[in-house]
Amino acid sequence: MSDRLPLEGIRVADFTQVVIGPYLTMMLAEMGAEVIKVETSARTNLEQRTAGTTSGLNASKKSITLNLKHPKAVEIAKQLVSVSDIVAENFGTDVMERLGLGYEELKKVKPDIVMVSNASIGRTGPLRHAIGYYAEVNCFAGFSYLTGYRDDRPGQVGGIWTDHFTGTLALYLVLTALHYRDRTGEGQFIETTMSENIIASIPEPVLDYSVNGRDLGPMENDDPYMAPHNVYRCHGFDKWIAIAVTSEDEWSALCQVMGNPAWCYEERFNDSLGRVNHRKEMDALITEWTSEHDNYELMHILQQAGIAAAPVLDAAGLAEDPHLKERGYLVYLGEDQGMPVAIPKLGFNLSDCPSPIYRMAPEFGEHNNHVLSDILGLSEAEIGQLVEENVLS
Amino acid sequence: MPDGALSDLRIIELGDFISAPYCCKLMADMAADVIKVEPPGVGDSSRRHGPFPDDVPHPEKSLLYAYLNTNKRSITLDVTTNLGKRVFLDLIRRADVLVENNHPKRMEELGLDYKSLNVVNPRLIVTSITPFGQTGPYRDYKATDLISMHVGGIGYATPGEVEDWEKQPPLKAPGHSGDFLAALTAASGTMMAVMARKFSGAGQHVDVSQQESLATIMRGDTMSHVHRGETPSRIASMARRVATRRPLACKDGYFSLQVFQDHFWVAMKKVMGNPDWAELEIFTENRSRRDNLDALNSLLEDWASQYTKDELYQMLQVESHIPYFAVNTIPDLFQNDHLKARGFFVEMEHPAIGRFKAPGPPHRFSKSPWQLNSPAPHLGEHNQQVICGLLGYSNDDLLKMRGQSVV
Repeated sequence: MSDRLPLEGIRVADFTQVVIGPYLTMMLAEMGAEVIKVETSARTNLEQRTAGTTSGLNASKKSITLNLKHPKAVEIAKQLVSVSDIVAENFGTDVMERLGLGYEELKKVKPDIVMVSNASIGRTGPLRHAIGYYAEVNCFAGFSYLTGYRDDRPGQVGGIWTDHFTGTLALYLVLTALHYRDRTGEGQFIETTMSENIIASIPEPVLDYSVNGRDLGPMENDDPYMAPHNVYRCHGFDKWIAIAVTSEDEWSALCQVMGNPAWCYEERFNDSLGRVNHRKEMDALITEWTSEHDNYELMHILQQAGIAAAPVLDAAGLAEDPHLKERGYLVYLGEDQGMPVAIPKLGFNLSDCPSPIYRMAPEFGEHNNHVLSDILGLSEAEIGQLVEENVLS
Repeated sequence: MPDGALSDLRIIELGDFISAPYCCKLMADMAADVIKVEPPGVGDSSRRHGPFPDDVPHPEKSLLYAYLNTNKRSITLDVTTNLGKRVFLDLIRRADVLVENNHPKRMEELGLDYKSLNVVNPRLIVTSITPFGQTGPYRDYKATDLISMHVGGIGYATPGEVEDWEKQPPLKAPGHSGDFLAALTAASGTMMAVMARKFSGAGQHVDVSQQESLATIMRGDTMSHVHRGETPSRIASMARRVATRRPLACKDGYFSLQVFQDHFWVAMKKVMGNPDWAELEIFTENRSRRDNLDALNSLLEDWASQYTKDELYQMLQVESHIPYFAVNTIPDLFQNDHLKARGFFVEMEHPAIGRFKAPGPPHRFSKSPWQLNSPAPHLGEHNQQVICGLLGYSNDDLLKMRGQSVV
């Protein structure tokens, strides 16, 4: 078993905020990078900062406070970059440049710096200064249009989908750039754009329109080729099971499990085309059976019969599910400090790797002295001066 | 031509449909040498999955396959046969990474589980993408994107609040988004293992669970349940609801805006002419605006109903810098000036399909950018090049393999 995390020795100057940026840098920290989060009271709602979601997105990091409006703070930021491997930011377009911390400036202090900059809808183009969070981005990207019931208003995907989706891409891209740097000695500037990442993840409707000029709109839970393929009501209040039958063998198995009701053998349900074309009626008939059963019980019965099925889980379901519990989906932190926070584990497990670092989010400016003195070599007097001049706020 | 970021890596893809292929596309697009292993005769199942040009199915004309498999080489190999497996292991010996999305039991049955492969090539990184991961009580269970989406917690909160829970079921996200997320998780996990191998000299097994990849997104709601005992509900009448921010209606369409943050709220009130209702206590704080989102949305929608999407864009986004975008349809994306200016849609040239516009890369690298060097391959296009050229089998060997349907 290796005794080193993959990113041990890597330092990140972290200028990110809100969700996507902190999510990216948190994953870097969890895999061993030293992530130094640069914060300022000017942009930080201190009450919100200790709230669960924020602290849950800043686990395992260090914190320094820099008032980037002050030129000395910008100098310190540059000094930090000069001893870092990665710079991460997700401000609005041109903000870093206006602060004097754009890629061209930072290259001067660290020529091989890898800088990742995430934008909502792009660092270039007529809308480069437009602001949008995940829900607005989903609307722009055609994602909300495809989410919802047919003949109803557009809906939204659950959770802060877009930030996590693009944060994960950004993680891959940063590591790719580090790999390139290791081989060539060259750093670079990486731009990720949330809206374009979303569009790139829905090629079927996008290419259908591009080539065939067709727009099918929202598809709900349907599949173009397979049925049954939906969620079905189970016993209890708002309990459901998702079932997907992908072959004739599985269809036969499902009929068996349901006790071979006569309707199963009607000609209209005999093949996948028939089942797709008559899915509304078929789904109603299946529901007559599923609604008598508990969704978890049904999952086990159907899986035993070789059919893909699982319960629809809400937040309670995710926290209590036996499989997720065994896999360690939630990491519980901060109980000793009286500030409990449960954060989801990383999405990948590496077999020859020590446990990731899951540690409480830092206090605001907790590592000022450590970073300024141990890492940047400033004297106590120099630090005192900075405090007086309101540089470290 | 600029050097590729991953041009020193050789990656074998033994997978199907979307998650393993998209993971490998991300690496092929950064110049890794990706060799895609497909079953002889039928190939990857995405070849049989549309959309197809003019709806005419053809294994070399699937637009989904064409999109997911750019820059790769394709060989056909039946790894269930002794000879096929031998050729596969020869390939593994010369590879850095194997990406696969087969059922864990299947890989064991084939004798291609991580332990066995590690013996053949101790430097090999194996990335396995499965619905539930390599361990745990559901490890041997089956799932598709639909199932993972719902058992991963996303479906429950999609499309948001419902009035009639019996008639309005939980929904998956559009397309096969869960498969794409699993692919991104796999790509990042793979690169972590590549980083680790620099100092350990050894490969390892990267275990990606699609359920976990999705469940991580529900972190806010899960915390609400765990810490405050409040389980967000999708039912409109319940006190604590899922935080899904549904688009609002205006005169000629739908839009989303965000006015939780104080400076956005202040600007919004001004745009609306400081109506009395905006001073209600339930709207004074960030937290309270979130907690009373229903009421807030209702009032915002009333106000917005007198304006078009474009008028709102001008007033809110342009003049007041409030986060705002209107709902674009898929056709709208192709007319969009911003996407056009950014050159986001790129022209793809494919020998069987011809020319078509497709989404470009979701990223820009200043030194080692995405390159489209070759279109998606036809089935077994590189059998000669790989099996003979790279692995050293003779043309005669290859003929025999064809004869036995190993290739």
